[in-house]
Amino acid sequence: MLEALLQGLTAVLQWNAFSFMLIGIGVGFFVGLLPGLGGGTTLALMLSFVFKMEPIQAFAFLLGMHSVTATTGDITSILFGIPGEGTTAASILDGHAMAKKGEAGRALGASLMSSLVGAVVGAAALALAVPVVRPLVLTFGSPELFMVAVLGIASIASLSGGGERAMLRGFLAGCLGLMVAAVGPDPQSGVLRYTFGQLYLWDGLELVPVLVGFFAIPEIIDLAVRKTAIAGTASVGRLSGVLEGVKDTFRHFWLTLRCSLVGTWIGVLPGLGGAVAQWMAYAHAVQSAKTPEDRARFGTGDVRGVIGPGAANNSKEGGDLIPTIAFGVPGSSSMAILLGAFFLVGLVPGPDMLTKHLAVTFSMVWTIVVANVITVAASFVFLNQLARLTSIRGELLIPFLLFLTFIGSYTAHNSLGDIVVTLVFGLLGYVMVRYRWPRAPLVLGLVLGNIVERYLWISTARYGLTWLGRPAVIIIFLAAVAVMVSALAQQRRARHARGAAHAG
Amino acid sequence: MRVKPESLFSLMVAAAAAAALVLTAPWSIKTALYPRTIAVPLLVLALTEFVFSLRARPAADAVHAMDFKLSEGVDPKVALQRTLSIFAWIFGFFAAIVLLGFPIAVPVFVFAYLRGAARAPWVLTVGLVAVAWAVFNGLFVRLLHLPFPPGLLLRALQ
Repeated sequence: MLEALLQGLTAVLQWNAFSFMLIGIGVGFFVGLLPGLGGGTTLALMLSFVFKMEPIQAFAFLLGMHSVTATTGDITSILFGIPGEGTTAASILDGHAMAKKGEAGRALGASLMSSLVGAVVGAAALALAVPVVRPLVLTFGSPELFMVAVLGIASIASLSGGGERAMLRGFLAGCLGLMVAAVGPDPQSGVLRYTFGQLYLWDGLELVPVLVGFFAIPEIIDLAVRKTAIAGTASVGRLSGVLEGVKDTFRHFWLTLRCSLVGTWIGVLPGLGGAVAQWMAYAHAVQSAKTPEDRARFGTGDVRGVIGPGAANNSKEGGDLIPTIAFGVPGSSSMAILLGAFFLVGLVPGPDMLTKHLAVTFSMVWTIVVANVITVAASFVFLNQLARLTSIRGELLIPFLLFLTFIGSYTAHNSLGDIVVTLVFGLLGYVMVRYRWPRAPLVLGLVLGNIVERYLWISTARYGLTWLGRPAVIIIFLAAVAVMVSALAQQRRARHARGAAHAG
Repeated sequence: MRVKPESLFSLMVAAAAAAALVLTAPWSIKTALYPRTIAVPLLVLALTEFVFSLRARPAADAVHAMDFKLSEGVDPKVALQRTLSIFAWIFGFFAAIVLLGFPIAVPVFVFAYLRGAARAPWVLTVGLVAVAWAVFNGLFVRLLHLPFPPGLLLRALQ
């Protein structure tokens, strides 16, 4: 195995594979920066270029490109409040808040370093999972996947914020997200729900136009109202800020590691995807806050809110590859496209990838690591210049931000309907921010809605009600209850503390 | 009793939940179960929030959302005026895309905003419009080959 590991590394570092990886990284770098245009779409566009490549070259190119999109997607999210990728929206909550305080450099440093740590953890998980992958993945059937989604919904309790009515509004927003997820065909019988005769809605709502509008439009409106730079009057920190962000990742190393493991695990589970990983990692970062005062810092520019999603986004890549390589079961739409690349270069995912083609499998592990190291190193070179964008007069940025917002959402279906969805959710996002409804629970509900419904029906159809007694289901259910109880207890403590303060 | 805008918002969510529930009536139980399971708690929670928002303290005191807050340093009247203005620009850009299509709407909007709202100098405006046009044309049209149909106005003229 060690020999295959070294073979994989030397194969990736050979000039032709390395050159293809560099091209892939270059494409992925810019795709990540552009809002809306996702890694999956670009994988599909680039698939036609791998016909004549050797397997290791092809995966160096494709994975090199795909594994860096989440890393650079965070840059757009942090600087402008527009999600660079659907999977980097969670970084906006604290990352953009830091940018507005003049701490863009620190936020970017923390995001990039946590992304690198996450990518290494995900790749290590992929390498370590090779001998034990079969029992690991087979433990999880649809009942367990349903319960993981329930665990995600329970995280709403942690994402609701503080105050008397925060939990009420959090669950209200979460239910609203779950309701919006019902738009489109019913997964059981294909009957269309809430489509109002609109062809555009037949596939349900695409995540990208929703997220781009939901997060970008309120930020643009606020920027127009303030009439200042994104960073306001705060001076934008120079290299020291970036280094501070790097140090933050190591100051909160256990959080980085735990969020990386959350991302890897979500990646391993088919059908959950990066959009879920980032929010569950964010929720975990919030849950890790020890006191109500500490928890209240999230959403206002706490670096832990950047580190958690950053690490999870990149670690899920390695996790995603585990079922794809071992069983040919793609964990996400991007992996389904990558699966096509396996066949294009003459490989069949499955046991052969863990025996005969082990060196190719390990070359993928190394590609993820090397591509992220190169991307992070290249990003650090431009980081100060990027951070300075937040000190440009906001009015000069607004037309470009709107242009990127609209075109980013348009790329989802190449339809004007995408822009209408962006406008509707932009308005909803603005109203929610204005009246202090938390937006994160709505997104979590929207992302998890379809998963919950699909796996609930499959579990019930396959096992009746007996699935409720499966050990893993019970364990995850208890974890979900623990998450809820812990959040409620924190709220209660905070209320008592406020009461005591008022009495004093 | 004066109804606050935030109360109206929760009432609108409640109305949406009620409508979603009514729309499930003709569906089979398999199709309707999920929306009904979500719409009922949504309706109850929205009505509860509505009642609380009428009776309780303003949300600013009662809720600390884990999210960014709109800037408070601007005079409310000015803030309202600027908010309406940016909404007009946003919907204006959308209208321009529908009528003229992306290829014309992008440079026209960037130019109009920079001169009309940002009062940018001519040289800077022209330079930034050229950058926007180059990014749009070079990246999205030539490199990515995204389809951008002509706007309604141009189609009518053709």
